[in-house]
Amino acid sequence: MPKLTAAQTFELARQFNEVAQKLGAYRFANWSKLTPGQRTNLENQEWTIRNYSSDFVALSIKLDVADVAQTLTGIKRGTDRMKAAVKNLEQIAKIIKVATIMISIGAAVTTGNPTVIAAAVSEAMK
Amino acid sequence: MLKLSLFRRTIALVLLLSFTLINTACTDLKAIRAFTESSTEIGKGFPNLAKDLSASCKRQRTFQGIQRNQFRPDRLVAITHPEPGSPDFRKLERECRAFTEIEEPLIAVNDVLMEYLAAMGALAADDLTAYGDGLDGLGNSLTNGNIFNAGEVGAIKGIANFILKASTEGYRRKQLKNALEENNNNIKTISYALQRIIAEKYVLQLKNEREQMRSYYSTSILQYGDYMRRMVAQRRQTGLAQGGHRVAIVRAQDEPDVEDPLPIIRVKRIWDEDEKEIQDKIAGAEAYGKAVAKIAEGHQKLYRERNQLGSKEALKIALTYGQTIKSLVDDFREAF
Repeated sequence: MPKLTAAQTFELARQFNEVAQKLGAYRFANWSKLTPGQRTNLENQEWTIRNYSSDFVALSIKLDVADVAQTLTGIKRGTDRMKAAVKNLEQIAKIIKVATIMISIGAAVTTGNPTVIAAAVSEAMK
Repeated sequence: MLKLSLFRRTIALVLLLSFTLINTACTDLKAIRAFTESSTEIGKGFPNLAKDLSASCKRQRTFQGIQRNQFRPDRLVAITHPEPGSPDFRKLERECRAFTEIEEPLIAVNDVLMEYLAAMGALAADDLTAYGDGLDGLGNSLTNGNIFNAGEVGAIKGIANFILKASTEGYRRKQLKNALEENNNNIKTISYALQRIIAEKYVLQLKNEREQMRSYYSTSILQYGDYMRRMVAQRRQTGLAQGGHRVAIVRAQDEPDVEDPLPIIRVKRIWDEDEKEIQDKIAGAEAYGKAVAKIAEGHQKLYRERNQLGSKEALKIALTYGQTIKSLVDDFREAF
């Protein structure tokens, strides 16, 4: 399988940065409508995704990262779903689900395990 | 008599030619030195920038730690000022190690570029001052980081070799043309690599840090709003329970949710200071990226003029690029 290039890993970093930002903006805009548990959950997911963005920035400065081809497509789909979901408060369950999938992909990419990455990406593609 | 007159004319001509040559040489020296001096200025603060890669990552994590432990002063001290070797210190080191590892090779490559520019300035001045002292151990620095591809490593080593050769073999002004010819492509390659890492990747890391900082302040302010609302609700309940205080109860019901905005005004000022600090760093990193791009561009134009470095065109190029880079140095210095 082709390796993720530095440029592709940087693209992941950008997308994770964008998703974390959107999760934060959603949490602040809907603060009074969210339960304390939902706020904490969203905050944890926002931080984890942002930390993955930073990890990917560091990885992207180095050379080849992981043996995956479909990762970017999967992440892109996740980002698009997140953008659509944050427009509607009713989608809170969906937002948390998509964020969870992105965290799984983030964890998989940093381990560099192709099987784990493929499984995480296939979830995002569903 | 005729012979004496001819001799005088010859002497006058030689003096005139010598004066013209000296004048042209001084003009060259001044313009090219101005270009290289402005260029090397941008490199002086670079180690501070490179070390901020891991520092930014650590600040991002520290904001998270503070937020999770804001009512535990014992933990706050350990998180914001971790003792070397402590669990908090080791955790931060581990989380940001990937950034730490790339700092040394980045500094080494910036050093190569700056040493080359200094050498170029010295050649223009016909100065035999030794240079290249800081290039020992360059090979190890480059391989440790695994951040430059084969072409980039080749370019860095090519420039480093030129500097060492120029120093040991006592290159003089006439070799300035060789310097431009031998290193033009290498300078472009190094410049692009540094732009890519600093103006794109480091800037995205700073943006992650900035978002985390905004998340910290925004969440804290919203939590303060919740706290004030609970206070107001509690007061209303207390007023009702005591009875006989109808006026006070009515006033409480008309009051806004948050009664005391003063802490927010103070917090916003601290927030603004943090915003400015990160914004200055983003501007500084972008200025560095633009400066190394201008160095490569100026070098390319001087390369085109390499056969007539004393021409007005070469002079204009060196002065114009020197000025542009100088203005970028000011932005860079604001942060680093």
